[in-house]
Amino acid sequence: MRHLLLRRLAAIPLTLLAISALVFLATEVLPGDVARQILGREASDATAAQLRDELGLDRPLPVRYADWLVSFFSGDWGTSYTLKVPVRELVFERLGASMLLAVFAFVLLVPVALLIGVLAGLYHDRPVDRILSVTGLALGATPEFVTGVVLMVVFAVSLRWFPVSAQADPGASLVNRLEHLVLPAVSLVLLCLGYVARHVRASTVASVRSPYVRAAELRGASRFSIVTRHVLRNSTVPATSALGVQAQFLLGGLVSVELLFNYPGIGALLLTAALDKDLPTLQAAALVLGFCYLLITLAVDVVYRLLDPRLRLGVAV
Amino acid sequence: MSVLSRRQLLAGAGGLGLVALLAACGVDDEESPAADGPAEQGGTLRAGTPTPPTAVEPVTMYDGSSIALVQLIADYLIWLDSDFTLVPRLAQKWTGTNQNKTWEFALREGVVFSDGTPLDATAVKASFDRLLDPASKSAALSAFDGVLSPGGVAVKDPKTVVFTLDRAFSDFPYLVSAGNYNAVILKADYAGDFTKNAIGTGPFTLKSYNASTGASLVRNPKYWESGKPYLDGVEVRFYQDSQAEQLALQSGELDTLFITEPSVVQAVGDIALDEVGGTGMTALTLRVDRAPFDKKEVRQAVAYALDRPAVNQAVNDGIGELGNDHLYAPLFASAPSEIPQRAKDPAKVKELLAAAGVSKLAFPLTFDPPNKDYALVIQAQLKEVGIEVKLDQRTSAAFYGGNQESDTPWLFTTANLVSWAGRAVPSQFVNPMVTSTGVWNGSKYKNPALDAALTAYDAATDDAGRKKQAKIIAAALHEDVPVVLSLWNGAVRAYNKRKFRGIKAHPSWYVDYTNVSAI
Amino acid sequence: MTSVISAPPHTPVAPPPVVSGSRRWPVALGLGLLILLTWTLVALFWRHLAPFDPSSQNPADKFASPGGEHWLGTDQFGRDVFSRVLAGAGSVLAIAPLATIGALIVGTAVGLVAGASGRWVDEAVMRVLDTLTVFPAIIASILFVALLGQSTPVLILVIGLAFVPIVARSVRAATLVERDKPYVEAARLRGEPTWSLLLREILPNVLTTVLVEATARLGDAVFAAATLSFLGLGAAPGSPDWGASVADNRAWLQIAPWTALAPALAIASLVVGVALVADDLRARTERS
Repeated sequence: MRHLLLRRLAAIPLTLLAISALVFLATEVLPGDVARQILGREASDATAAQLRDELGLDRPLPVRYADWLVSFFSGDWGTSYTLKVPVRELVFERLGASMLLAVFAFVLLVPVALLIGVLAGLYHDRPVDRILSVTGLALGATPEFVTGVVLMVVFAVSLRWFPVSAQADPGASLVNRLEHLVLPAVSLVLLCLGYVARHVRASTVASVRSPYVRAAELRGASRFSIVTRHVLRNSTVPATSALGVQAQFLLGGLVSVELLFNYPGIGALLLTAALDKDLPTLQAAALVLGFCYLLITLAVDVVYRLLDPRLRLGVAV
Repeated sequence: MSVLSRRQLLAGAGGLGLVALLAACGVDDEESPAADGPAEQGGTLRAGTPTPPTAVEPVTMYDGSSIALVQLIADYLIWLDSDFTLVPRLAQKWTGTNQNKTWEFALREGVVFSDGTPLDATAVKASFDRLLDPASKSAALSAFDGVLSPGGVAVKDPKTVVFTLDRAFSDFPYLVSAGNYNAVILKADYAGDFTKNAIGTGPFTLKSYNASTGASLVRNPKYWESGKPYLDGVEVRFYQDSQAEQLALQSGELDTLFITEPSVVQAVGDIALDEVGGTGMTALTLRVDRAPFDKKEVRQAVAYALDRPAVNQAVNDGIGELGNDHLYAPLFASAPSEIPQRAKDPAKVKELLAAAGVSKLAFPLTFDPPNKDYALVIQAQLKEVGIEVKLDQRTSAAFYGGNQESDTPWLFTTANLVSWAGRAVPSQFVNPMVTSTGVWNGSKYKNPALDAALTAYDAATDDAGRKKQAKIIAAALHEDVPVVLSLWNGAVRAYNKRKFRGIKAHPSWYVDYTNVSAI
Repeated sequence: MTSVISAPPHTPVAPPPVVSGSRRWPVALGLGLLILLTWTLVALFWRHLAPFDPSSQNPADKFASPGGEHWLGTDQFGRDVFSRVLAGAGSVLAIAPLATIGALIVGTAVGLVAGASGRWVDEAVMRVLDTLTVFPAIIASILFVALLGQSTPVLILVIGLAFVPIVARSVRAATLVERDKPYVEAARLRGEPTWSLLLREILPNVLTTVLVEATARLGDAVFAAATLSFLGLGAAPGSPDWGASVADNRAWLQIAPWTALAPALAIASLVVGVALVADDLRARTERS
């Protein structure tokens, strides 16, 4: 396994390099002019040209790329063309915001998915199971901006239980910030719930039928202890891999939720930077996101192997 | 519908505003009695606005959010009220001499910047020199083009500034007023990075700013109008789109919006809408130098195909004024009243197309996302009279990108939709849009008679002179239709009537919270 | 003899069937097929089924409530919402299957090659796939839309491309399992050329994987198309595409919720239908 780990870790910088080159090329080709975004349409051609010159935008592509590459790897991520703030600060601020939402959603997801999955598994094929399974399926199929919209109208606008925008006031406490994040987190959880719960359910069913659970039942052990000792433990492997897939999605797929709930996360930053052709910000955001994604993928793989002893020992399954 | 004179419209608009207010108040019996008493100090107003697309910088700003934010912190020589009257602010009075080729402004006494520096003519001169310097890249350069050049601003004494113009321009005060939104007065040593050095003479100061989330403003204790502002502060929040901010307003998270779209917000519950007539509009520009619009009859056909009241209803919730294809909004004093209002006339459309020898008219309409709804309305309406419109939507960056001299879509496509913010004086539309040398002449219209009339208009020293020239210009535009203008947008501003009063709509979305107080 | 599974576990683990073990739920499959069939018929025949022209505007009648002449009410331009939902089916049902088929063809080819090749080719292909997976889909979508315009074929291209790495990974994993089996060894000894090996020997045996991918990607494609349209990167302006309709009508949630809810529920029903069928297919293939 160490071989795998090292190989994958070594591949990460190469992948990121390739991404950076692709992003550079893509931005080159996109129509639009960042100088105009900064100055507005009514600035004269001469003025825009002057700004382009100041930003060094008229130099040949390889020169600009090499220049950016050198600064980036020496720690200077540049300044956003449009917002005039240091890119590194901006990207990490937004990444932090997205992670807060993703982690919050994840934290809500795990117990609920386990609960539902175990319940569905214990009472499998009975009405409870049917209802839970189909509901999970339906929710998992509904795009998050759809559930988000419904949640917003019901809980924020009509009932006023939660705020409409996910962004708390500056300097707010963690509790206050989480309160603002409840609705977007719930819409994400609803999306992922069905998938994870299904895995948990399947392994629950398998455990319930397994010899030692039967033995425990015959011994007179309580339902509760059976569930906690045997069922849950055996659910962790499939649950982990399912959760891992969701984690990747959560980090990258947040754009529509961020837009819907007005949350200044990294997905929204990526979108705006791409539309504005704000290259320094776009590069940094794409690379940071890429890095997180690759890390999570690797982590999931490692955990999966650690948990499944068959894989760890390299036994063919 | 006859074109109302400005006075009539004002009365109407004022009446409308009053009626709206009464309607908002009257239905509700629990209206708080404090709404009528004297204003008290206190309260923090929470305002929402779209995220500024770029760093807030007074010299180069162009978007509504940045402009509104700056207007809370810095001030102009002259303010533009919601009916476009000039209101003295940092300038106490002004006079034009030498046939309005020279203008002298006397500054208000006792005004200091928020850091204690007194306001003097040096700071004013520096502010305008900065705008006139091509290196600052300010859009104000275009506003001053041909009127004021670098070196034309001089200090006569610490409280008097003299402007020497390149040509006679009787509306010059408008060019140094809030109508030229970059013309805020900053300290002489201002060197950029406004959000870190936000020093102005406005009612509020900037406590904190975050480009992603919003800004915090607090009362400026050194503000020149004693006792004001009443508010302790303003919390500004940024929203990535208008739907999110409308919902925030409706759910009570916000008290007001800087910019309100009339068709989206409704006056329900605690939300009231203040309404005012405006001079903003969306122009349908047609290129007169290439097919199919190189024939006047074809352009007129498009103009006669539009159902203008329906457009008003669809894109402006019925609060706008009908446009008559010339650039003199009913709100302008010099707007001619004799030109009959064009209306939908399918028979005339057929007749005109036949006269031009066009059996089937089809053309592409280019626009960017904010004008998508208008484009859909035009497409549907023209389809009814057999004209086919192909929609060509570009991203805003693509639509306004490229070179203004050669290929930028907004100035070079066959037919396009471009929105214009309200201007205080019609020359600010006519000059750039339809004169032979106009910088933003997307139709490529060239009419020497019109050019001459405009020069005469700008030099005219009285209303009668201006009206005479305006009539010539408007008649030419109405006949030749380089630009189809069906609507002058009315403006609304939404606010929580139960918590605050004194919030007024402004046709250019300008913000003035000096007189806003908590209830 | 042990051989380390080199199938990357981060291949999405095929979820177990909704239905467990012994008893089958024909109800689920039946419902799914019914939904799919209904929408397919609607997509093909909406011109005959829609009571109004989906793009005909009637501003005097804007925001009419559901019921009466307009079964699902009207939107801000007075257009009939029911007709627009019907017309939108065509858009989604064109995009999703085509994008999925495209991704399947390319992805299977890539996966087969990667799985059957030597270590370095395999690594190289995997790195390229990783790069494509990590490259933000948003940028790719904006790029394609900006270059090629906002239209259905562009959406198909973008979504298809986005799914190629996922399909390729699954097929590669399955190929790796097959590669070491005796019949492959036998074919190699017979001297069969590689392309024939891949297509004639291995492919039929990984077909179940391909099928599973097909059904999974189909649901994802509908989802992706709706999301891209929602973000403004998909359908042409004025199109009754469901995702675009939800985005366009978000502003009216307070005053005319039906304008956004109708297309939203349409999206949900379609994806549920696809998921029900996909689940059942998976259950069957797993059992065999």
